Amino acid sequence: MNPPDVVSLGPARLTAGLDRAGRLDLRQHHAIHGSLAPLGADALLALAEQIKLCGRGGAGFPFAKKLKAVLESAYQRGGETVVVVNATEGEPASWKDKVLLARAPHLILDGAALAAYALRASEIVVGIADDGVAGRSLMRALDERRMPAPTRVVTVPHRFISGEGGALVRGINGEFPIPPGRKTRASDTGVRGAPTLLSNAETYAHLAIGALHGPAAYASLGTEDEPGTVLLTVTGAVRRPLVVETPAGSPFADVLDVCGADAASGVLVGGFHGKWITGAGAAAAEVSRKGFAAVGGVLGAGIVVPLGAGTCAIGETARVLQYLAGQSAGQCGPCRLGLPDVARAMTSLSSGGGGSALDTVRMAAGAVRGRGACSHPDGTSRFAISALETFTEDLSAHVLHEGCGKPVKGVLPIPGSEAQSGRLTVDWTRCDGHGLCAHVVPELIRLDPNGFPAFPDAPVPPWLQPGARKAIAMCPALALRLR
Amino acid sequence: MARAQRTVTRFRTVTRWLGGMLLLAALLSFTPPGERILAGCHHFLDYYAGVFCLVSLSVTVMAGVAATDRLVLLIRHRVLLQAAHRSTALAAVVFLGLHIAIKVVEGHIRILDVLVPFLASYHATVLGLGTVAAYGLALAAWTGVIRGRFAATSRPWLWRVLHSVAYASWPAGIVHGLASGRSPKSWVTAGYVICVILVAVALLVRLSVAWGRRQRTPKAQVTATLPRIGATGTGPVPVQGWGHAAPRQRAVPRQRAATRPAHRPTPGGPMPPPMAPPVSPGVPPMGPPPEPRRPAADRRPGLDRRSGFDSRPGDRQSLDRQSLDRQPLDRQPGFDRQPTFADRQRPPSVRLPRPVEERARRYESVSDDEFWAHLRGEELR
Repeated sequence: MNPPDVVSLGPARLTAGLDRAGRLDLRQHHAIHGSLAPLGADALLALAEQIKLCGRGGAGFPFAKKLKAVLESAYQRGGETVVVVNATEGEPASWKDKVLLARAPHLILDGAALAAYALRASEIVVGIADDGVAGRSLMRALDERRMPAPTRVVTVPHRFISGEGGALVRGINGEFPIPPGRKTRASDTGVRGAPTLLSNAETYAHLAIGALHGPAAYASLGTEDEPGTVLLTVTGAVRRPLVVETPAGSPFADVLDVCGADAASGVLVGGFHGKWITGAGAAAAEVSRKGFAAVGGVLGAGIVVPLGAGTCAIGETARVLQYLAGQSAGQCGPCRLGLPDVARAMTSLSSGGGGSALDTVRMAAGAVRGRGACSHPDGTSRFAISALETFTEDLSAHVLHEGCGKPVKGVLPIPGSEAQSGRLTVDWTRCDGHGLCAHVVPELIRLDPNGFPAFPDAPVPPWLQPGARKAIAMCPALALRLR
Repeated sequence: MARAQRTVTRFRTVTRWLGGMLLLAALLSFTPPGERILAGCHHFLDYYAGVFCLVSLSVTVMAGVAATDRLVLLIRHRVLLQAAHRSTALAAVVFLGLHIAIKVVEGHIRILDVLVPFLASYHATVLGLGTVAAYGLALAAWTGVIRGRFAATSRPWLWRVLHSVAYASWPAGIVHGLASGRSPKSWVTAGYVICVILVAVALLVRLSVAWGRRQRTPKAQVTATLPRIGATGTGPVPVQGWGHAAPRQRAVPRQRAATRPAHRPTPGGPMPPPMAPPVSPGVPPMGPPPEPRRPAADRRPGLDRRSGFDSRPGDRQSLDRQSLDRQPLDRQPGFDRQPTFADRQRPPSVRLPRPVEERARRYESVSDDEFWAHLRGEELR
């Protein structure tokens, strides 16, 4: 998929100038925003508090609190500090950071430069994914300008969980980019063990806007609690996928209108760890963390995916759950084995498993909650339960009747789902239900009630392929193979 | 990509370590204690590499045949046995290599004897069995390594056949091991014999289960084969002749009947209803009134119905005695019954089949609905 276009509802802030230029180089950036004046630590802290800046990566943690924690930690330990820009964007349906980095990279770098100067950081690290969207633009931008600290770009393999802060820090430290087992705050021990200010790319861009235009001008848009603008990525059942910048508190219906979205049957907000909201809820919502929470959604990283009328909601959810189960790092047992359970139960529900499948979904989703090093099991469980709560009509059609009768079109974007290679296949005429495969890779293969292997109809993720190969080698009937 | 790079890096690390350790060992072996250790190793391997190879091979074969059991073992036992099967197989191959290398270095055998069996100057038979067993072990190990590829092909049984070489290699190895070197203690011989018997029993159980499963699956059986009728040519049949009656051939001289292309059963083509038109004395025949009777030579001999075959109407037209007589017996319809002239000599009271043309027209007019109605036993409208 190509990066979506950018549209601004109301005055453009982050996306200013993008309606005229493909990419803003440093000269154009200065022409639009003016040049940056450095701020001290206290001034930056005051600015962050005045513009009530919160993290835009999903959690919405107040930036000022984070900055203060880093300052305190650095003061106590007296060592170096590091500024990390998280632009990995592991969510497949999110484009805002990638688009911003590809088209207006200097805003993000301005924000990182502000933070690095205020913290007297010894290094700035920009973490990006290896999807090849933003890397060149970022390198060109770093060629064009000067930064207050040595700046490094670290590319981590694209994976759902590699965008998690702890995973990125591990990646920068040269370890596997998966979440650490023991929760450590990056503000205490981050890159090389130093106090680290780690925040999402859009957050740094907002910080730069606040510094460039002043807190008063920044707060002239948005609501009292959430001043400024919000970046949303709208994909799915839309006439054109867009990255939309809109003032916080503006009607969500306007955003859906400008994309030509078919939102009547439900909208996924907040990404694959987010929630579904009904069409009515979407029509009534306003774009802000509070506004989305009021209709049972979450703003998260600003991901909006309208489902559209012609596709099976339960089937789509099951598909995403299979993807999320495959994206588990595999280091925590409840997640590694529990998420495939959730996905399997939802698939069974969509294919007519009835009331018992519904119970299994609830049970499996409850069994993984809060039982992992990161929020992946929690987010996945929340997503599954939210689908059950939102699509009550479809659910009753699936549980009580033959099904909703709609096909699964694959509206929710899942990377690599079209690939035909790397899929596990069974020659059913050879398979004799020995069951050795399920014993070897329980993350991937389970036995159905008759003792025959069952696994998701999706490419095997790279980290499960050694297990899959082992299962193939173990199969006494030579029935398994990897296509 | 990243995985490949990691593998390459790991491979380099391992190679470096191994190389370093080998170099160190080689250097140390020049020192007096090193020489003593080396001599000890050499002596040990000279005596026991073959023994260890045979023991490993025996364990491999037994673990392999046991791992296929579903009656007693649980899944986790079978996974464990498969792992044991693989590791002991690796050990067997390694010890086999050491055994052969040391025997060649010591001059007990020539390299030619390693490659070609039964040429050795002494103990030719038992040493040759060792060579045969080594080939078998190598083949079994190699097929074990590339097993996954056979899962992707349409011939998984080929893998089983190739891998089963181990069952031949193992007894050869045992005979070689017991007869070529030191004379074994009686309990060793007894142990091997017991192992062979156990494996043979396990193998019989396995084969009988597989055989029973095969027997339970009924195969398609050829109940009858319809030969080509009425023509000697082998060319393709014109399409217009496939599901329909052939055009009228009344006026055509008899001689051409033999050269006319005949019908042949086509799998995809529309088949004529395999039934004879119901003829009851009370029901007047449909369609135009029957033509006056023709000379008997012009009537079809009525072979097909009696011999259980029912060929197409067009075939019947082209059937005549001359062509039948010219054909070899096995090419004739219903070759179990030789055509006779009985039809011609039939007494006039016997009701003769109606003229062929009229039948053909009836066949053409039978629609699907009528055909199925007939099969259901309803009267044809």
